[in-house]
Amino acid sequence: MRTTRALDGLVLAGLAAFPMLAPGSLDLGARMAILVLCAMSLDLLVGYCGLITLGHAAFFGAGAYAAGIFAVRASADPVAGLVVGGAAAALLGLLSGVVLLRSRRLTLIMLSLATVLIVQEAANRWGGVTGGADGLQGIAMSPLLGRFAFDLSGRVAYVYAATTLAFAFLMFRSLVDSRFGQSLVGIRENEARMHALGTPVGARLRTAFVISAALAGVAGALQAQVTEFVALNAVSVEFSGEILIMLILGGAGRRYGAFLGAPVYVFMQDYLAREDPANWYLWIGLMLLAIVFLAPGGLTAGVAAIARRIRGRRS
Amino acid sequence: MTGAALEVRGVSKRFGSLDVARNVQLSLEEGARCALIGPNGAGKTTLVNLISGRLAPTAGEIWMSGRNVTAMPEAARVKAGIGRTFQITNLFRRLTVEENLALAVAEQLGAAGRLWPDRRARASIDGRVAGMLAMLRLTDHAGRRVELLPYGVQRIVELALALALAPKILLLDEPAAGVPRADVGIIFEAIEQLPTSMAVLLIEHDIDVVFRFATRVVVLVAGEVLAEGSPREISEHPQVRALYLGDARHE
Repeated sequence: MRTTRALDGLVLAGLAAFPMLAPGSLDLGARMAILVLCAMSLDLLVGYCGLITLGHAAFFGAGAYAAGIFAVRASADPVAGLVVGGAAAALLGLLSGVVLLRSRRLTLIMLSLATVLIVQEAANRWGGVTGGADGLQGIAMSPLLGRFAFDLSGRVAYVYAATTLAFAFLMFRSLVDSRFGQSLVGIRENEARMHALGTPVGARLRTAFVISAALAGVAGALQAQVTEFVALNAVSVEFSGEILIMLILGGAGRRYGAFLGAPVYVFMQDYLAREDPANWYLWIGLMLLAIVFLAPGGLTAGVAAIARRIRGRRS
Repeated sequence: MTGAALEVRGVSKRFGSLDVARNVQLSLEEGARCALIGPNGAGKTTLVNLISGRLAPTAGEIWMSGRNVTAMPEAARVKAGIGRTFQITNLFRRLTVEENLALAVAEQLGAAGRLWPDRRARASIDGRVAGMLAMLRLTDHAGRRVELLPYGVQRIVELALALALAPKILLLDEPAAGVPRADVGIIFEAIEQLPTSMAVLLIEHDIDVVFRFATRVVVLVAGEVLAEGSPREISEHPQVRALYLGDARHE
């Protein structure tokens, strides 16, 4: 418990210290914060509920498009757009959850894939509003809180994304530490038994689904606002897969998995794409294999195991 | 007039062409101590599954305190007061004993849906869990993962999980099956100490245990109620003697 609290503090301190540590990479920092938020929202489903889905980009994309369209047509205020993005994704989560959560395992994966494809096709067809294959253009955000204009250095964008992530993490943390979070773990571990304990399993999972979707939508909204653009691939199966890979890399169901997985993935992607542009996906694949075999619980589990060993040696 | 705590009215269940329950009638008054006996494959566990809502009957109705619950899903029936144990241990294997019990207690206290940590709720959950652990002598195992425990202890956790729900009707499906002789006492001691208002249906093969525990015995054979009565009546029932008790005596 004390370790957890210290690590929670470390996560928040890391977010606050990043601009001092890497003042030249604030763009990258904002991108990472957004991906961490998205992977963290997926963790609620994969790590805590035990639901594997390849549909998370649908919520991310819904949030991105909703916030983007809202900025173009209604108001360029960032915070209002964030709320709109989160709400749109939550609504999609509510509607799709009713259908998707009737299934499990392979069927769920297939249905979640279908959800992404449907949302993507809708964005593609509805070109008049979404910009279709050209992407949504013409987003020009007004200054954050009416005072801080998004600048070229990316400082405001980073602070905005990191602060949002920090709030989302506090919420995520409180959720997984709550009885609700514990009952999701119970469902993951033995769903049939939870019914026999009187748990309204369906309602619990739908609630988790909506919260997860809303957080992914907020991540999508952040991306739309920070980059002032929404591309069709924000709602793609490929992006869904990448988010899942980031989470597995970091460790699902382990609180900090997204915070390790997403940055490592982005870093490797940038590095490998530069060093070996033709084969970088191969290297990512090999790295994943290595993780799966060497640290089945992801980087988080690997780090924890090393920490235990060091502590064991000391005492 | 609320009726019996539990009433099974003409319940039948078919799996394909196999009748696993045939027009079963069963009634438990508040505080009843009823045993359900019968040879393997008689449909005892199926009956528990029908009562608890895990299975839906092909025909017939289940009533609880004057209320028809036939269409009610399993989880809702638990909320209405039915608790059960499983013949084959059905636990949260990778969680600790304490965490297992906390899941049930939180659900029973209505705190399991709370979206943020709540100190007051936590204190009352922890208190109840500690009480259960002490009652079933599980305190030493509290922090251990269930999968690492001996099977006998797991059986006790199984019972604890059902008791944690504080049910009005408790269905015990061979609670002592697989428990080493030395630990059987803990289980039946706990069963004997159950609140007198709780209606208990016990499936058990050990006839001595059945006759000591039950005031009424129901004999199920091939999905049908063959006989019903006091332990004395059952022990003198010629067909039951031939079919079941005779076999048991020779075992």
